[in-house]
Amino acid sequence: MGLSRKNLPFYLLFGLILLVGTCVTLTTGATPWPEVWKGVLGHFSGDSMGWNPLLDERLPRLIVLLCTGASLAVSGAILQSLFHNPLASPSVLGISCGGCLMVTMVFILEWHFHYPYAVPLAAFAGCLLTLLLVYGLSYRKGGVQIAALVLTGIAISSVLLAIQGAISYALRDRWEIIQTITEWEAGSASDRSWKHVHMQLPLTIVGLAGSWIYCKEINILALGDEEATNLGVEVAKVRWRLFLCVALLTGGAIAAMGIIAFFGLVLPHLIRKITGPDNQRLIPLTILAGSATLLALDLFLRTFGIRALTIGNISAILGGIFFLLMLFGFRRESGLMRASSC
Amino acid sequence: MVHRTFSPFLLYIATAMVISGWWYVAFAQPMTNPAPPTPFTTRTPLHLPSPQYLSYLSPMARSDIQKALAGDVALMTKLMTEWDVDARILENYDLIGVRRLSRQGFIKAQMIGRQLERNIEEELVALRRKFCEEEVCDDEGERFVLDAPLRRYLPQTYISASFLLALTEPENIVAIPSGLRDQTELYPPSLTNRIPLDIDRYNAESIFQSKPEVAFVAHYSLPSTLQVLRSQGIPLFTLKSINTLPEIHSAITRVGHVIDRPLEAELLTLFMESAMLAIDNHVLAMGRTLSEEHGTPKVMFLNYHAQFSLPTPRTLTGQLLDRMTAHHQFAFVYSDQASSDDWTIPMEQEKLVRHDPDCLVIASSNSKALQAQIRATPSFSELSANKEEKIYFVDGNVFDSPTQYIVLAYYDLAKVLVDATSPYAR
Repeated sequence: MGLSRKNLPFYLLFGLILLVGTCVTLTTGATPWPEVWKGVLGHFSGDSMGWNPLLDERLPRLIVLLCTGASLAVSGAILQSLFHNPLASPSVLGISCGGCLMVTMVFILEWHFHYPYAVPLAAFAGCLLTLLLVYGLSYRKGGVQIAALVLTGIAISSVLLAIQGAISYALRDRWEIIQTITEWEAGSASDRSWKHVHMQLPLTIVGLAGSWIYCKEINILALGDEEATNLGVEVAKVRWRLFLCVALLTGGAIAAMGIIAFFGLVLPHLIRKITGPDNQRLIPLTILAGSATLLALDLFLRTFGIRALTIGNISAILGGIFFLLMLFGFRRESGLMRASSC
Repeated sequence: MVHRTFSPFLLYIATAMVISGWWYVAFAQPMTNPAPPTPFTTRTPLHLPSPQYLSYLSPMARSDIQKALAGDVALMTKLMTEWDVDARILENYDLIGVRRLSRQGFIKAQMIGRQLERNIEEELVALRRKFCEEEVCDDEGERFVLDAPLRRYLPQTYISASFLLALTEPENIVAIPSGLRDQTELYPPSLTNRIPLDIDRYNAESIFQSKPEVAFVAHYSLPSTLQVLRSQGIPLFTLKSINTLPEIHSAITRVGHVIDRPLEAELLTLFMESAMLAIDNHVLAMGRTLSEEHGTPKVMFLNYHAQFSLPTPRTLTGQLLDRMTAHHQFAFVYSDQASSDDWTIPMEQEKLVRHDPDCLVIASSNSKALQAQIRATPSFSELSANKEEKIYFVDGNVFDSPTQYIVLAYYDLAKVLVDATSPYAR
């Protein structure tokens, strides 16, 4: 099971961050707490069915933040394990690019005005279709090879990014659409409603459940395809299902909050340093840590009133810095090991 | 293990059913708090007898103002005369706060208008030369010596194209930004079709062959484009960011001198000033509803691009709101978190509900579609503005446009505020 004596302090730490973050998120805002609470009581007693800040904005925002943090972190952990590559993240298969492109099309066609769920649906559909495309293009007679998958994913990513760039260039005169796309791409937890929760939650539950069910198989797959087959793992099937889980998790995250870069790349690394490579320990703590970290980032921005950056921007900045520090630490360790072996 | 007992097909079907079932239950059911259908644009005005002076005022049609801002000299002078008379009528009825163009400004405008309408082209050329400055500085500090009139112009930016279209004939303009042609409500095809070329890199040779004598550029123009223009020997006149009304006037004046249209530029700036004052007077004349006990109506202006935001006084829209506040008793809602560096403040729904404005004005590029979206948003049903049917939509393309058409933005703002607060709104 995931919980061990060694990891317990970290579970407690992230659990505490989560608890404090939840309390602060639900109790702070523009509306004073007594008024909010009165509205909540009125809502449940049937006296007041109007819009309530706690029930209709803060709570959905909290759920979306928790789901998105967990989804992105677990997606990164799974992909890093499957690809045996520390640089793997939800973007390596082009999934997030596909979601982003579909959302761009929705904004251009102004469907988001006429169909309220167009943006989250497009994000999810884009992620899923991209996964199917990448998988389909990298399929060979013997199945799907990891190397082929990575290369195809990178190629598809490049194509999708190029298409998006071409669209942005063609629309450079329509500044209002460019502004809308830019605001969405930056990633935000503002004005999240129950529609975002209902769009994301089933995807997150199914994705996380699938990830947890197969975490033992992920450990075995880390030994290599041949070894895994010899140990009774249906490599192709398990891998496909795990990628599907990643697409569900990433699609749900993009649908709910837009692009949150680097989150799925850096956090699994940090957690792996704590739990080790065993995914049965890694994934549960990653779920907790991902939720707590994204919630903490959002609270940081709100508490200090930082408007120049969104949660997507700050995640990318901090994630990049952390990643560089980890790389320097890794290089120093390798240098020391080489020196000691000489 | 659990997953081995199911066939793969069933597993995928079950998963898809769980997800789609959840979505169906969540989205197919009617909302528990359906927002009542709100006719945003119609409202039954209060039936109060309107003051007598209102019947004497000029109609002040938006289309006329737009046409005048596009360079119609005769219309400009006609409207300025009407507005001057309107101001005198209101003063006659002892209305406090009436303002109009200074006597000198009004006379100057009328004199320029008459010269432009009556003189033949050769006389106008000599007249313009007489009033043209000897040299003008651009925003980069470059001095332009205007010893000979320049006849062919290349506006690299929307702003300079807008000025040039109002000040000179389209045939003198070599090319315009292609996106300008899409703004047909401000720049009709009958005008833009007379300019054959678009500004893009494929037309660089054609543009060069058209021999523009000056290019109006901005600090955000592509460096490679500026380099090409310089190497082609075309002087560059730089207009940097225009963020205030005086900067718009200054830019129009300087552009007018560069293209040998100083009189037209002077008239346009005077007309803009006169129009803003006339709008102020009309707002004053329409008075405000809401008896004394209602107090000053709280108005919130929001921009919409993927999310709502409040413009700060750093933007042109914010400055228009400040002007409206200074001259009339509207209380615009500003965020107490705004700093001097902010251009806009994001406005979350909770904060919007907390502020609960009496009147809400939303600027968007697609107002009709946004109305439908807002109807589906539960938080808006809580707003007093929604209950009182005082949510208004204005064209976002006109607001924050640093051209002469900023006057139309002020007009739209005044119209919705009068409609929201005046007992005499028609």
